[in-house]
Amino acid sequence: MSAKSTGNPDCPLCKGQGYIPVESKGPPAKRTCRCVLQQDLIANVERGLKRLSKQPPVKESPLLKHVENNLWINASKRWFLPHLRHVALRQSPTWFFKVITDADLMTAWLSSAALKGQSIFDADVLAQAVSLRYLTLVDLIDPPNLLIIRVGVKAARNVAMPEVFLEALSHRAHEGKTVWVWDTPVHPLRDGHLCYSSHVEEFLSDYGKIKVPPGHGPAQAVTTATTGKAQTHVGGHKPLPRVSPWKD
Amino acid sequence: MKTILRSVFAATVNDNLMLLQENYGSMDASGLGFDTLEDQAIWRYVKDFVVAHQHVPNLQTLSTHFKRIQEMDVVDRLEHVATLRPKLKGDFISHLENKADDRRRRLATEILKEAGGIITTGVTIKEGKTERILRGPVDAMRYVMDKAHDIVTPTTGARLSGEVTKDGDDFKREYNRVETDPLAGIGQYSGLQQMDEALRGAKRYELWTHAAFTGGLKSTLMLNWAYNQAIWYHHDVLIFSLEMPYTQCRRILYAMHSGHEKFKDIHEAVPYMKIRDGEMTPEEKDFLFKHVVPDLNNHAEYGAIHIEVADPEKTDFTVADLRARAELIYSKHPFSVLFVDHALLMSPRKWVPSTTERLNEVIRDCKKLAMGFNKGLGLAVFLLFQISREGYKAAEKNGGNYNLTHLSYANEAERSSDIVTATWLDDDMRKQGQVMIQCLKSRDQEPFENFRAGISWPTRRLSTLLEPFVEDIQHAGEAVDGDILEMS
Repeated sequence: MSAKSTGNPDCPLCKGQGYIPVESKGPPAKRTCRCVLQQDLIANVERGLKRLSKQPPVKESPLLKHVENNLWINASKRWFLPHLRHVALRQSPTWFFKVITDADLMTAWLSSAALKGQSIFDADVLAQAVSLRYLTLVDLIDPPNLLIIRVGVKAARNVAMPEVFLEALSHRAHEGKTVWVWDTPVHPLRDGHLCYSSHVEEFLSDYGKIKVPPGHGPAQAVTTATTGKAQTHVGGHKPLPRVSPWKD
Repeated sequence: MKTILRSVFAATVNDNLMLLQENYGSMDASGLGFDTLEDQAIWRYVKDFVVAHQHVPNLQTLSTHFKRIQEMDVVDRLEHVATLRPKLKGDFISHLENKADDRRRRLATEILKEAGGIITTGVTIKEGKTERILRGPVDAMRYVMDKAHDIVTPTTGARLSGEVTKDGDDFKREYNRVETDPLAGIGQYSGLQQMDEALRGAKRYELWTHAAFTGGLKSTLMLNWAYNQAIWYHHDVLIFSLEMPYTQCRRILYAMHSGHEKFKDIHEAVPYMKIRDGEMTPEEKDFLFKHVVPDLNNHAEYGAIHIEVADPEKTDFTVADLRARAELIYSKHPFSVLFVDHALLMSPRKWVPSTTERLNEVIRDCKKLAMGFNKGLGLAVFLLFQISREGYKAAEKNGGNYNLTHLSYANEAERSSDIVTATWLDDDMRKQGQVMIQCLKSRDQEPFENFRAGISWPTRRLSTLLEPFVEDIQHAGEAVDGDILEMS
């Protein structure tokens, strides 16, 4: 049950305590020191997507200003993940983001059917046997502050896929929570994609769009401007205090 | 009644204004009056003073006022009353209860006498501007039932019943009392800033259920809350610990107190494990025995932390047993909040076959306890609840977010509780010394957003952990990037 302080012993601010005491009239209050904050941020980045913190750093990202806007991002993995890491490292360590795939959506959607003992005709889901990881679709898509849905992972056909995808988007919109839809230039979300339907396209027409040409490295500036109307995030994370009393 | 009067104003420098203010609140809520004209004049002035200044007056203020208006009899009475010792906390409440009992006896006798008159000869009573004649046994019993409110109402003024459309005067009195009380609407604070600011503490009549999985810091949160109530807010608390023995709770509380800010220049906190295993260094032992223990035992302002464990002779400890013992303790030490650790270890009043039914019954009884404690006076009840493994696993997949369905194996927890909170921690957070606290239900106010609290593992002390500043996050994020760039 014991865990030692994670502060840096050489830190001039906290001297290894990991926290800076904050003046309080009641019981003690404290704020995380910068030296511990780095570890907290890395831990949070890893919670969102495993090994994301190992992505190479980028100096700036066009995604940073869209944390509270719905986006449709067409970019390669090589470009997107370093930019996502950049964004996640600049949010609170309690910021809850999650990267899921269209295959996860289908698995969650079918899990309740599996529990009822119904036959499932989906090759991807059958390959994983019956999943109890998420009992309902809502369990999967509702909690995060920012949900990133990677489309194009699901390979086996399932006619309900566009509807499940649309349901996920609609649910998030209803809850006033932000979604980023991520497809790749080699497998774009358009007619022929397993997640595509005209209803999905219509729903996504309100989303801000970022299109990164194929072959673009993460450090290269995006020449294609954001288009479409970004939907402002309604609910969500509380704004953080802006002024720090700690000076370098 | 002169002791009561003495206990609502300050006469010496040693008088504790906060406790006198509490006395004033209890006296005002009781609706009791004073017999002599002098006492009535003093009480009237005390009431006006508190309304204007939000604290009780002192002897000099009272004396100056009555001298100025040439009420020398009142000044004499004041000087006599000021020589008495005030009664505080439980002593005052007991004294007030005795006086209220006398009043009830008188009142009950009068009502029954009136009822006798109604049965035999009939009585004319005034109802506003109209007069009505009551006659016969039916009218007599109705009259007794109407008047019974005043008899069965608890001393501190909690209403058990009434007729709302005719109760405007009492409603206005209640509002005026709340308006002048600086602590009105505020319950018993936990000491965790984000939670206290949002929910304003555990309030009378409310059942607060706190849920977590095994090892999820349920008991730790409860002990921290009790410690903060007693040490920082100076209120008495009562803990029914059915999981941990008395000595274990006591050891944790002494370890916590060794980390109090007042000792930071003397010695660092003594870890709980060292106290438990008798492995303190001579310096630590010296510090604990010469500073921590005397301070905790002898500080005049600290509230009391009563810990009760289940009667070892009884195999079934029910909420009724708990209530009987709590009411007995309350008569001597009126505590502000009652903690129960934990629901699953309580027994229902009558045997039921399933765990769900058993838990539901216990939770329902705990809500009734919060509402009806001490003849309707009410109490804040904080009940710990263990989440099932399925609930824990589901939350694990949701980034540690519980929801009310995770309490569904005892659905009464969701229904009867006014507030439901939960704590969550995983291995990373355990290493970081952090715990996430979440609000699953709040009946009377906006729930708070999930927040993290800090925990010092050696002393089990929880503390408020404020959100980092934006520029500190930016700095930390850039530092992480910088470290990687340097390494490559």
